Amino acid sequence: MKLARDTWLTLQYEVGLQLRSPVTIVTSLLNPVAFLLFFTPFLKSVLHAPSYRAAFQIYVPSLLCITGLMGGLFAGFALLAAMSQGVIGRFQVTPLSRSGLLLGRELSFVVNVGIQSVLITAVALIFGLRLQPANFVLALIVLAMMVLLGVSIAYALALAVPNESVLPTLMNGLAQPLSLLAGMLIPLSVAPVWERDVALWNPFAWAANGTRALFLNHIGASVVWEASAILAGLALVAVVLSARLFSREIA
Amino acid sequence: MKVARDTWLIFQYEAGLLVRNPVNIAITLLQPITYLLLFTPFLKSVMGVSTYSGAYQIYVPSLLTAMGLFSGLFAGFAMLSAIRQGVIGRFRVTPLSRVGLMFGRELIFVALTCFQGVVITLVALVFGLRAPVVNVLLALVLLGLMVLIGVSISYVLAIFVPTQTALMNLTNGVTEPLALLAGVLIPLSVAPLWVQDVARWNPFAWGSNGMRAVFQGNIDAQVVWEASVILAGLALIAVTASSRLFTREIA
Repeated sequence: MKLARDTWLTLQYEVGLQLRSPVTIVTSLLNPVAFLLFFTPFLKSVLHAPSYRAAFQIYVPSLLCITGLMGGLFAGFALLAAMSQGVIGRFQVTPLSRSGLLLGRELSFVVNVGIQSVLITAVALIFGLRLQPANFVLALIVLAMMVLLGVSIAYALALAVPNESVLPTLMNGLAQPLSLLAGMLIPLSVAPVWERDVALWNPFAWAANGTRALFLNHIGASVVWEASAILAGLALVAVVLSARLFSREIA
Repeated sequence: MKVARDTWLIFQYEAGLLVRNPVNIAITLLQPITYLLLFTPFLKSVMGVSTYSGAYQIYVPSLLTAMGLFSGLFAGFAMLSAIRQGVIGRFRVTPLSRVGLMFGRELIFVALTCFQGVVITLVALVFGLRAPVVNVLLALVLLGLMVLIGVSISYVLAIFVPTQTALMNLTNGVTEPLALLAGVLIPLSVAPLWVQDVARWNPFAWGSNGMRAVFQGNIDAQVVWEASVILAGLALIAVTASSRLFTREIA
């Protein structure tokens, strides 16, 4: 109960900070919208999609996943910045639970990616995407678990490697292969067999395939519940581990 | 003559700074090599090419274009911080010509990107690329011209928009569309007609198409000399305009 309340307090605080600078949210959409408008036509051609609607159904979930992956994996920098600016230190002297402090900060990234996803999908709707609201909500849930997983990994790495010049290289070296091997540019379904085999071990690939199935209205496809189960399990493990690490290292 | 000597002096100075930090150069190669190894298989499938040599002939020029575009258009930040830290100011009190000061700082980006291009091409050779040496050299010349255009544009932007955040948003907003509409992920040849029509106005699209023809062994294709003429002309204009502006505004 106390944990839930502390998480909620931290989440409110963090989301409040984000909402106070709407310009940052808009500029964070520049890249995804550029890809949405200028990469989808290429994909439509090479995948022989019959319409822009079909092309968006294939590409928008990838775009949401890569936004979530980058947003999640680069969260470690915000934690390092908060630590060096003394934000974490000032929260430590309050009676706030350590896990609540961590969980609230992690969930604020989920909210952030959720807002971006809704906006990106809205732009895609203008340009021809059509999908069931229920499927979109489910896709957002899968995405949320993926972001939680990413943020937890990023926090654990930031705590393990608290060096602002090494961490970007490490994160880039991790995020790029993970996103490419999740088929976030061209779907895995057309990739060579060896890449699909490797991708079986990439939870972010499951997220991309699961959300894509939802966007294609295949809500009953086995990949949807497989992705949900894998991501829910991994997110739970990652959040617990990162919270324990955080409590021990920081607070 | 004096300009040439001053350019050479500045170039040497900047090159010395770069060489002293080889780790940085290695790190900037991480992302292109990841794309080279993990994105090419996707491209091989969707473009229907039978061999990896064919796939690399399509993708290596795209990758070089993306590298040239990004390293060129983000050069303004180095200029901005050099102005801030007083590096430019200290050179101003020397008898160094202003044009030489500017041109030397532009050429260093050309040299760095071409060096990276050579490394990428060598890695691709290991994994199956086959291309005549003369053709690769010609492609590097085209790459150098693209970097010159990019750096000049970026310097002009940095002089007009001297706020770090605004410059970042502007550069980000310009670079991604330019890159995507130059076919840096999937070649323009398979893009819908409207994309190809828009791309006619994108000099970097000419660069990428020209380099691709060269890599595929069609050194006498029409697009090669067209690209060379367009890029050479634009590079000349951009360098002249940027050094005039630099002389007037900064030095």
